[in-house]
Amino acid sequence: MKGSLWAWIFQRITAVLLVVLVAVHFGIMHFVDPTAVITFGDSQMRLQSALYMLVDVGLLALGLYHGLNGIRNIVLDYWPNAGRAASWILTVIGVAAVGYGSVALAAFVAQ
Amino acid sequence: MERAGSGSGRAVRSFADLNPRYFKVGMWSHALHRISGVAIVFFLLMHIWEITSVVRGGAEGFTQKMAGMAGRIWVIGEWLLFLALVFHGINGVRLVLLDLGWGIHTQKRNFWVVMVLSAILIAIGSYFFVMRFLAYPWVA
Repeated sequence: MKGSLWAWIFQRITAVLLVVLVAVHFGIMHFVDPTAVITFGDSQMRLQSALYMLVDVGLLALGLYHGLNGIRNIVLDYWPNAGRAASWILTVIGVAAVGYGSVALAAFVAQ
Repeated sequence: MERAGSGSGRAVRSFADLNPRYFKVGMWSHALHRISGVAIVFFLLMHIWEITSVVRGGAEGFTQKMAGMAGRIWVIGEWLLFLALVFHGINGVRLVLLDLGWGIHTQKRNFWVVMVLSAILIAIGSYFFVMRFLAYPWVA
């Protein structure tokens, strides 16, 4: 299979997973205690549970893949010649954001 | 690279097809999906910047950042994000099913099914956002 076909398949797989993960994340953050103001302590307590950590790492990696690949699809639609350059730039942004985000998630459990 | 126009087999010379005046249901759905998608990506990058404040300012900095966002302006932003997420998610399920061959001949109707489901979910969710809005000052 060609790379672009894999990209399409992954866009669909991440979509299905994200529908579930985003619903869980958004529901917990906005609907369980709608007037709460988040503190470091609250987030730390949540992220010490492996399930929360898994959801957040999943959201970070899958969300960035799905979102940045979506931007790539738009670039390919309007400026097909810029596709290769866009793929590189978006990959760099994605890897950097997953890396930096992971450092932040680790900071919640490492103290 | 030659790119076929809308079923015509010729290369696209203009973006007349992209004029909303000629949009039918499917194109509106596509446009809404794209606009909401791009908005969510921008939010995601901002959200990552906001959460990673813990790296730059420690526990104290993170708590302060969150307290600073307990204002009505931010609640409105979160509500708009909610609209985008609900539509993009529900319409996305329709698109995945479409790829699997489901709902091709009923796509016009299904667009409205997506809209109605989105409206119901948004109506329910908005109740919580109103509660949050009323509990906070305009600027934290």
